Order: sequence, then structure tokens, then C-alpha cells
Amino acid sequence: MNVTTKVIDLAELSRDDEFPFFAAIYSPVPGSPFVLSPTAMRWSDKLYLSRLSDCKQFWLGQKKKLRCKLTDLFTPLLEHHYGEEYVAVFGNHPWQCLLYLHYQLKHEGRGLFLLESRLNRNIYKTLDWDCWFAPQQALADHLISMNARNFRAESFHSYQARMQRFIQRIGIATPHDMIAADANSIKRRFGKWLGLIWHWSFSDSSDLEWFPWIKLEHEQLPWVKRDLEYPVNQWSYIEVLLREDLSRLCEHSVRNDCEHINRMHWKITLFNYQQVTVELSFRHPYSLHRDMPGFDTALYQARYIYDDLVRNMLARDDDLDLPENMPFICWQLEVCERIILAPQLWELFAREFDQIDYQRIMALQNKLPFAFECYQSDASFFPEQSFTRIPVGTHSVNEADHSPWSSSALNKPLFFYQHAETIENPTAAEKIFLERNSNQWWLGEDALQTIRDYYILKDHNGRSSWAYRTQRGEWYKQGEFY
Amino acid sequence: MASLPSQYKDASLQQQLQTARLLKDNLADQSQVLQSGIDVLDECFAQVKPGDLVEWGIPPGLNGRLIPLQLLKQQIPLSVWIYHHHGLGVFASSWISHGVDLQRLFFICSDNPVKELRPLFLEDTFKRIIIDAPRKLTRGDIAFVSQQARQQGQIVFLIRHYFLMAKRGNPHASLRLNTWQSSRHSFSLQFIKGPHSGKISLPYRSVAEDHERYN
Repeated sequence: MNVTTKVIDLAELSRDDEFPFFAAIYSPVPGSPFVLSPTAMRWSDKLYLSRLSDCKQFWLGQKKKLRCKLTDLFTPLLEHHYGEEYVAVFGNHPWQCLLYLHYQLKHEGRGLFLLESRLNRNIYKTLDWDCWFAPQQALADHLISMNARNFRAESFHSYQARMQRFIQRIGIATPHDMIAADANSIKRRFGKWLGLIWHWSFSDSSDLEWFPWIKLEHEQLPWVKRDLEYPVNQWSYIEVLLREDLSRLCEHSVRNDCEHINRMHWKITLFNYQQVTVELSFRHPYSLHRDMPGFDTALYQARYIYDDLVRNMLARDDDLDLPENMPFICWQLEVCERIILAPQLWELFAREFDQIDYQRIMALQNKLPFAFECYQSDASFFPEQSFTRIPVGTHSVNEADHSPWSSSALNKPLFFYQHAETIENPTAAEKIFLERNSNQWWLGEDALQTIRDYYILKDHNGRSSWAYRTQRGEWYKQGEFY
Repeated sequence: MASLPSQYKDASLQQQLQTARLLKDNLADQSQVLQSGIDVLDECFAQVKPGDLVEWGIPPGLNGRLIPLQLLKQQIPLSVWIYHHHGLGVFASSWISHGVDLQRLFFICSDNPVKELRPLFLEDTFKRIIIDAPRKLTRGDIAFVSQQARQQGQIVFLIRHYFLMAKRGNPHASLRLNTWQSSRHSFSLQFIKGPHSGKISLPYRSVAEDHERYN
């Protein structure tokens, strides 16, 4: 018998959908601050803060695709960008991340630590006063640099000294021993800022609450402009010119396979000098350099946008005496959002999942106007809840566990109405009873109304449809036996 | 000096040719690409090879899509089902209950597939492409799809929402057939073009569970 044992990993987050909001990363070697998120802050020379919540869905998607733990997902990426000597702490508040990072640096810890895991949370409770006071100097520097309201360095330092004297006098070993103290009482006794620091240290909230977040600006993103010698409106001409522009865009930066584009802006000036800005967005991060020299993906997306634009303009200008297709006289193409992704992430895609090359499917999907539909079964007998639509490549491993539920759908049609249609009582049709179904009757007020009797209805031409009757006697058609 | 492989040691050229043909036949047997696990059905599709286009006549309401579905159950390569049924979506549980691996079968909704999904036909990412009752598909489109399938070794199923007739042919299809559920206990397959002709019947229970057990 195959017995699956679940081992509790104390260094991992307890819930599968849990995700930290912030990360503090220390690296002795210089690396990009935008490795985990486009929103980052430089805390000191070798220390960055990153707001992970901005990319939560992306990273959770990657985790699901690779079927791994958070540490297994992020460790190779951080090693790739920052080498072996980095220390990263992922937590729900940047201040807590900084405190714990300081502790790990003091104890020569290396690698990735999830602060919300059982193990690290317990260690966090043992942090001493040195760890609590040490990062406050950098905090004071940031508050001064951003000219924070009501912050004066002298008074802050005098409150710090007063608090240290108080701690020595009453002999409390760690901040956690004093956790019963309310942030307001600390504020009254030691000033607003120490009160806030106390609050940040023990709060479960991810709200910054006066934390001095100074967003690090991206270096200027590449762009190219084209002034046309003559107006153009046919895609065949536009395509050639756009391909040249994309090539020029590549020349603006040194080839880096880690660099992926999420969105580009195409700012078009029409013949009547009207400016239209359209967005080329990619479902999956897109590497411009790797698509050289054809740039098929970007050009397909541009083509769909061009078709939409022309259709809208034709509808708008229908009653005006204007050329059939409004020509373009110039445009600007600019990258507006990009992310740095380590190659390991992409290599792993090809290696996993029973040899299904998801990277290839995603690259193809980037070229299409619609996304592929992927489904997986769910544990429910209720038809609408018996499966879910999921992004490409995110099938969970325990899908087979749902077979008792999915096998109940054997006599049901392949296609169904997402919104069941009301029909008249099918008195003339032949009815074949399938099943009685009731969905989560304990949640509704009237349990009887959740009961449905399912039938196959056959009309006089022998055509079958799938329908149900409620306890009120109302009939609904839910599918067709295509 | 290198010696001839034993199977080519026959004295005459004619014998060598015959041996070669036998070898080819053996190889062909081993690599039947469409398999359902239903002997009668497998026999009908034994000749279908990569690059072929199979045209199906399946009017709505007659449950005929369960037959092409049988050919997508056994160890399928990456496949895509392009559909456009007004107001209808994929009822995934039913596909899973029929044994289709939805990790390998993808869906996409389009009523004009060749125009809207051109990149899909230009690559061989999907080895099986099912075009289900497209609203717009010209003869030129079929020629294009068929040519791409040949170049890339794909098998294309083109499903029509009407019964096919011999009167109106399709030169690009290697096999044309109609399928429908003819009674509570059987499915029918009527061959219009291909190595088989006439009509065959399949018991319902070989395709799906019988309704009777519910009554």
C-alpha cells in the first residue's frame, strides 16, 4: 500500500497559499534590486528591501508550476543573482525583516529565511535588545533624508538612551519579554517614533504605517521613435518598420537573457495629429533579445492591436470624409515594465511536468489573441464546482485524488451552459433520470432549493440535452450532448 | 569489409524489395498513431498517419463527439481543441471522466481559427489539432491547415456540425465519416471517404457507461 506521509517542515510557511509581503536582502556582491519585484528600496549599501506583494500572483503561479516550496523556488534565483553569501529574510513587515536579518548577520547565517515559518518565528522571539536597536540608525538616516514630519534626530536619540536606561533598570532581556507593553504606552513614555518601531516589531499587519518606504526608481527604460517619411496605414508596411524598431530597441541595451518584458507602450500619432497610446502586454514575461531577428511574438501582439485600432477608427469615422484607414505619421515604442528572471526558472520549466514543454506553450500563447483554457477537477459533485479553470501548467499533483467526483460526470455532456437557461416543462420530451444532486445545503437558508434532479432530455429528432429540475418544479437546460 | 544486413541478403532485387516492403509494413504496424483501445475503432483509424486531415460529420445533440474523444485518450501528445459553441463552455469533469488527460489537451475558443489563431498552425507545438465546428473556414483555410499538418506531422480533426455527404467532397481529407449515437445502446460510424466504407456500429458501453444503470 502506498502511504503518503506529510513531513512538517518547520522552516517553511504552514499554509500553501501563504506568501510574504516584503523581503530584506543583504548581499556583499552588487546585484539588481529588482530581482523579486519591480518595487524596491535601497536600505543601505548592501541591503535592499523588496515589496513582494506586487508580484504575489506571479510567484505563487511559479511555485505551483514547479511544485516546490517557497525556499526551493527562491534559493536558486537568489544564488544566481547574489552568489552564495547573501542573506534574505521574507516576512510580512519590512521592519521585522530588517531585525531578523540583522540577527542572522550577527550569527553569520546565510541563505533564505521565511520569518513566518514556525522555526524562524520562534527564533525571532529570542532577539535581544542589540538586534532591536541596531537597525534604528539607518532608519533615522532615512527619516532625515525624506524630511519626515515630527522627526528630530536629537530627540529620537535621547528617547533611545532613555529607553536603554529603563531596560537596564528593570532587567528585561529581550523585546519579546516586554510584548505585553502596548505601542501607545511606549509612545507616551519614549516618543512617537519608538512607539511606531515597537508597533512594527510585533504587528501582524503588512501596512507600512509611517515606515519610510523610499521607492527606488528604475534606470531609464529603452524607447525608440520613428518619424515616417510618408504616412502609412497598411499592416504589411507597418510590420517591416516595427521589426526594425524592435531591433533598434534591442540595440539600446546589452543582451541579457534574464531581462523579460511585461508591457510595452506603442504611442502612435495619426494623420490628424491625434495621439493614441496602446499597450502591448504579454501574458508571460517576454525576452526581446531571444526573439531576434523576427520578433514574431511582439509583432503578433502589435497586429492584434492594429486590427482593433483600425476597427474602432472605422466605426468612429464612418460618417466623416476621412481616408478609409487613418494613416500613421509617427510612433514611439517604449518598454514600460520589465522583470529580471534567472535562467534557472526557465530551464526548470522544460525539465519538469512529465516532459511537457510549458515554456513553448507559453511562448505560443504570447502570440495568440486569446489564452488557452486549462482545467483540473475539483472535489465536488455539483457540476459547476466540479472543476476549475487554471493557468497553463499549474495542474496540481494530487489531481488523481478527485477521481471519485469526476467519474460521476461520465453521462454528462462535454459542453455546458455556464449560465443555465430556463426552459418550459419538457412534457413531450423523453426524460432519462440521471441523479439527484444537492450543493452545500447547510449554507443556504432553504436547503430544499439546492436540490436538483438531473435528466437527459431527448426531443422528437433524437437530440439530447442535459437539464435539471429544481424542487420548485422549474426546469433549466444546462448542457448539450454535442 | 562491412557485410549486408541479414534481411537484405536475398539474391534477387525483387526479393530484396519484397523484404523491404515487409519491413516497412511491420514498422507501420508498430506506429499506429491514433489509438482508442477499442479494437473496431482502432482498425478504422489504423491508416491515419501524421499529416492527415480527418473530417467528421457530427450534428449537435447526437453525442457524436464521444467517438473522436476516444482517440484522444491513450497517451496523447500535446493537443488543442478549438471550439466555438454559442454560449457553451467546456464541461471539464465530463472530459476527465472519459479518461482524457487535460494536462495534455488544451482548449481555445475561436469561431475563425485560421485567421485568429494563425501562429498555432505555423508551429508544431500541438501534434493533434481539433477544429470543432468553426463558423468561418474557407476552402483556402482548409488547404492551408492541411499543408501545415503535412509539413509538421500533425493530425487534424475537422468536425462539422452537419452530416457529411459523398456528393460534396473534401480533397484534403484522407478520411471522412459521420458519427452519432444511434440508440441508447449504440453509436454509429458511417464512412464517406477512406479505406473503409459503409456503416459500423459500436456498443455504447465500449465508449461510456450505460444509462440503464441509473434507471
